Amino acid sequence: MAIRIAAVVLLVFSAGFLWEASRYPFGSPGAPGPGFLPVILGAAFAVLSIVLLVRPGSAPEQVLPPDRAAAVRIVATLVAIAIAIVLLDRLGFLVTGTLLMLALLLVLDRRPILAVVLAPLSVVLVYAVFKVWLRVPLPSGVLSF
Amino acid sequence: MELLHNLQLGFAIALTPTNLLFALLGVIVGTLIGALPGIGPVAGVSILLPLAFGMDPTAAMILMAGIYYGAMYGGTITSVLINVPGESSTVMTTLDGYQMALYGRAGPALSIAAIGSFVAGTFSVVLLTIMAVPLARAALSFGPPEYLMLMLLGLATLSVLLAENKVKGVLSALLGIMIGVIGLDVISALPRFTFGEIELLDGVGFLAVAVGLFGIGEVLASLERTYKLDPIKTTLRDLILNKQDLKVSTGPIARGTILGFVVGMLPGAGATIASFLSYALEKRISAHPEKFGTGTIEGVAAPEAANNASTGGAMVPLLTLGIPGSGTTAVMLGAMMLFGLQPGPLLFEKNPDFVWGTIASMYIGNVMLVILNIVFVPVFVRALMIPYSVLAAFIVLFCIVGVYSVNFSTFELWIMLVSGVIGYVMRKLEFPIAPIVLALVLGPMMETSLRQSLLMSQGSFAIFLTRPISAILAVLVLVFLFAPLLLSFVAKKPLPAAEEI
Repeated sequence: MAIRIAAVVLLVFSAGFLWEASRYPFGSPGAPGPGFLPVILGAAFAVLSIVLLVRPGSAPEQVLPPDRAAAVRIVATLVAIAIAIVLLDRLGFLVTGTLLMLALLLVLDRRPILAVVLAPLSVVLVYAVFKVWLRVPLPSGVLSF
Repeated sequence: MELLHNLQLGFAIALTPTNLLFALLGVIVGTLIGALPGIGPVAGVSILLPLAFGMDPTAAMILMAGIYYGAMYGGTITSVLINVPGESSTVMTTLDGYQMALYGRAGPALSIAAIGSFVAGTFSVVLLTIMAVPLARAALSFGPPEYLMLMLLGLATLSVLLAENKVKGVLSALLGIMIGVIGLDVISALPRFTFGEIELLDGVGFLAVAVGLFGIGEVLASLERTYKLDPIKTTLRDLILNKQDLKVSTGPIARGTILGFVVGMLPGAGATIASFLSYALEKRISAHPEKFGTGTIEGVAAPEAANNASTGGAMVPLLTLGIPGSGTTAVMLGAMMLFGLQPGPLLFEKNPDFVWGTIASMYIGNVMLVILNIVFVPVFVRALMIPYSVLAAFIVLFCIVGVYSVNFSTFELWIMLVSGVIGYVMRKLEFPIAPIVLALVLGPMMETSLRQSLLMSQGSFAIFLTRPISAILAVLVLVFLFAPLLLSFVAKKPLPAAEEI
């Protein structure tokens, strides 16, 4: 069932892709335009999505929704990353990275003392290696040095 | 003589302190990534690539190659001591390796794997050294049709061989090409699928997608599982092999090496298939096939030799043709282009330092690895004790730093996050993921070759069949793509043999 739902999603996606692709000049086989390959790709994708819909094959065992605890871990990780991306340019790498590590360790590992020690330590270490040694310009933000 | 001259040049470059350091870093990280379930070489190579951004491309390639073949060594440790393959390429090693460990012979299993890996790894680099230049010269005559067919063949093989469901494999590959279409059209400079977003004009960065799919996606999937790793204890003294062990392993290592190298060279096939075939071969020709699976040392030696030899083989098409055959080598190709190198047969003439420095570093790296994997096994076993909850946080941090370092855009980080969610869902639904990355890197090259070919032939698709090399490749593509599809329609049940790989 999960595969069939996925197949429908893929079919809708291919329809959208084809609609956008049709806006570009297709050209002809002798002089293929920018829309040439996209249309072929979209059509092939649509056909295979239908094949998958009709013959989803043996259902994989693990297509179970994650249990509650796992779902919380997954969603929390995603939210933490999203917030970190928003904050990165504003607060800089040192602050954002520490907050992210703190959040992830607290949610996933649940040992507050370890988290409080490890989060700033690891971020400073990464910062030192990338920014100071390898000269990758990570944003310094509010704690610039 | 030319060969010796090239090698001399290569070693002069590989032996500089920086490059030695990057080789060492690569093989250590590679071994760790190989040993740790939940992170593989594609993620490892993509995440650590930014470490080398400030360096020259040779250092970056040495680092990535080190991670790539180092992971083949490291995967063994987990397979033997915990019965969990660190990578898909060491699945076969669990069969006899873990049985040996249960009988108190974990040491010999690890030793023979390290020795087999070293012999195979080194021999495959020798073959790479010898074959590279002639192959690159032969490839100079390839035109757009040949290149298109080669790329299609690699993509078709990768999508179909490892996928339990071929349709899903091809869908993954198509999705990768579709993502590759985003951005300015190379020929007409028309923006496609950018929806007015300036950041998309350059296309979707392959690194953000690869890190998302393989790094974040794998972390999310692993958060569902709670496995506790409890390695079987070994000491250094246990690692010693007896004469009998060495004697029975010689043949399997030799055969595994050749088989692995050949399979590795084929586009799309790779370490996993090499180890699988090599195990099957040994079992078939063995005088006592019933002992396989009960802890026989040949069952460890052969697949371990094969998966290492495949890495040298996989470097052949990457360096001589500029065509990768797997997720990891696709990231390497993308990295070469990021560094402004033009991959292809001319690489050997235009950038001899890069090519020969990389090849020479592989000799050095294999020596480092055999020492690391015999003497420092206890250290790597320690690393397995790090709880995944801590490791996951570190992987996420490195993913963010790595992707951000490409061009300091948070836009790329959003692409990474979305790719992570897609990678997670694909894992759940058992869609293969490597084809997306390979297709994304190859996609723009494939489109250019396709359009050039059609311009050459004035619109006739016959061009792919009238040129002999292109025709052979085209037939192979069709066989790979459609034979399994047709078979699965004819047969009521899907083919069992293909599913077990």
